[in-house]
Amino acid sequence: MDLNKIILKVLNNEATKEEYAILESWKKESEDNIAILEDIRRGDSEVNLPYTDYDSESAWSKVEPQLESPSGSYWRYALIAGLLLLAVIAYVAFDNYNENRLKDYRTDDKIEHIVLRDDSKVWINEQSSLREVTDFQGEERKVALAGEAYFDVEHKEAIPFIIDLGGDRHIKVIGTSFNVINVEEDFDLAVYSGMVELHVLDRVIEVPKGQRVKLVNGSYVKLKNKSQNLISWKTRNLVFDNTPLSKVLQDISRHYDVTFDKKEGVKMAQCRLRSKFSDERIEDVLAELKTVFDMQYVYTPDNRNIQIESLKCN
Amino acid sequence: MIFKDKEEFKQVFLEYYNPLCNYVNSKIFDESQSEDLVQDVFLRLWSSREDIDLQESIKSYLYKASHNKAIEYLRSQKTYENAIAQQSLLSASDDENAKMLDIYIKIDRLKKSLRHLPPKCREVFSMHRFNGLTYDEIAQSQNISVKTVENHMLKAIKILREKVQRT
Repeated sequence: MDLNKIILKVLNNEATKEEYAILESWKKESEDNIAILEDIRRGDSEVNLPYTDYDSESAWSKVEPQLESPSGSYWRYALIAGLLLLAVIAYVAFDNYNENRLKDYRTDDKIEHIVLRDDSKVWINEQSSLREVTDFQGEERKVALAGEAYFDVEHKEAIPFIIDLGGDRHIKVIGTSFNVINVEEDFDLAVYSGMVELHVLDRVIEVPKGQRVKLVNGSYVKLKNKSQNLISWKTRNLVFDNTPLSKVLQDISRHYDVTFDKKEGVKMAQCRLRSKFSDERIEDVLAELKTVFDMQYVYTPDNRNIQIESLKCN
Repeated sequence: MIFKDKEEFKQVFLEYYNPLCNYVNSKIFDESQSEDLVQDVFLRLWSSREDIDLQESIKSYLYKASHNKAIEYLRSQKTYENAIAQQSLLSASDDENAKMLDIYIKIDRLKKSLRHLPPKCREVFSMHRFNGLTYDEIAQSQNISVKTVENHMLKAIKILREKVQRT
């Protein structure tokens, strides 16, 4: 009998005498085996203990800069101090010079996170560009966007933040967070906090939090923003809460830039998925679908295509 | 000298940070304050690494230092809740406290090895082992069949076995 099954049964107190005996002899084989069992059994007695998963890696990155360097002579410190001072002077001078230049950000195949000079944060998706149009000193903060970006704009009542989208449209906000896709005819604005004004020609569309505006066949349509996965490119999370499988595949293909084809006769109308993927590889996501839906598929990385052969729903 | 270099110090930090924070938090009930206190303990350990002559294991040192930090903190906060927390902190025996830290170290180790499981598998395993849900309950909450839950559990055990055997 499969040892894993026996372990599982023992853990759940369902094992027979024979199975206990098998496990005992397995335990005798090595210290490791006992350790494994202990590891897996753990949790039983500790279920009720409050436990928080502190992020030790990020704590380390906070602590590390505060660690003093190994001790050395006074002169070494003096030298380091001198060098630091020079660096600071150079930095300040360079920064002053730089501050007056308008910046131009272009991403190729990576996502960039930038902080603008007013402390507004912008995540720029792949194949997109963001350009500063004003230096933020005057009456407006103005940038131009082509592609997709997520904005978290610092609230400044007196200085509106304007995003030039080219052609006849622009966005005007005071301080909010929202995602914009602006690629020719593909326009999609989703607002996550505050209120955004979308200006099209001389028309103003007010888009509050939780709403979305999409360009459909030449007209701007207001929708409820239900999809949490629209900004999965930024959050790195794909969340499915009893989501129809067809929608799941849509979100996956958007996020991973892959396409799905299914063999004739494959039906998925009844399938729903509840799951969360945090920055997983496409291979792991597919493996997951295989476990849950018994999905048989062929993945061809070269043309980023997945052919679904069969699947069934629970 | 206790540490050969910063890298060695980092390893100790990563091994004990999480359990120590959990231990301190179980005493002072303030997660972010717990993190600050434990980070203090490590900073202090590093800056005095040349002077300390450890008579005991690094673990006992960290435990004592964190424990004292927790007491110090509660004393500085003069609220009623803290007075009660302080009372229970002082009344628990050294033995009980050390045991508690050991448990947190073990949980931490298991959690770390869980990272090698595929996401869904890990979720099912944790729900069962940590949250005490039955297969039926997991199946319902996840909208999957009991059979699938069992498959996930078997897979988890298989991977955990391989993982532990390799290290």
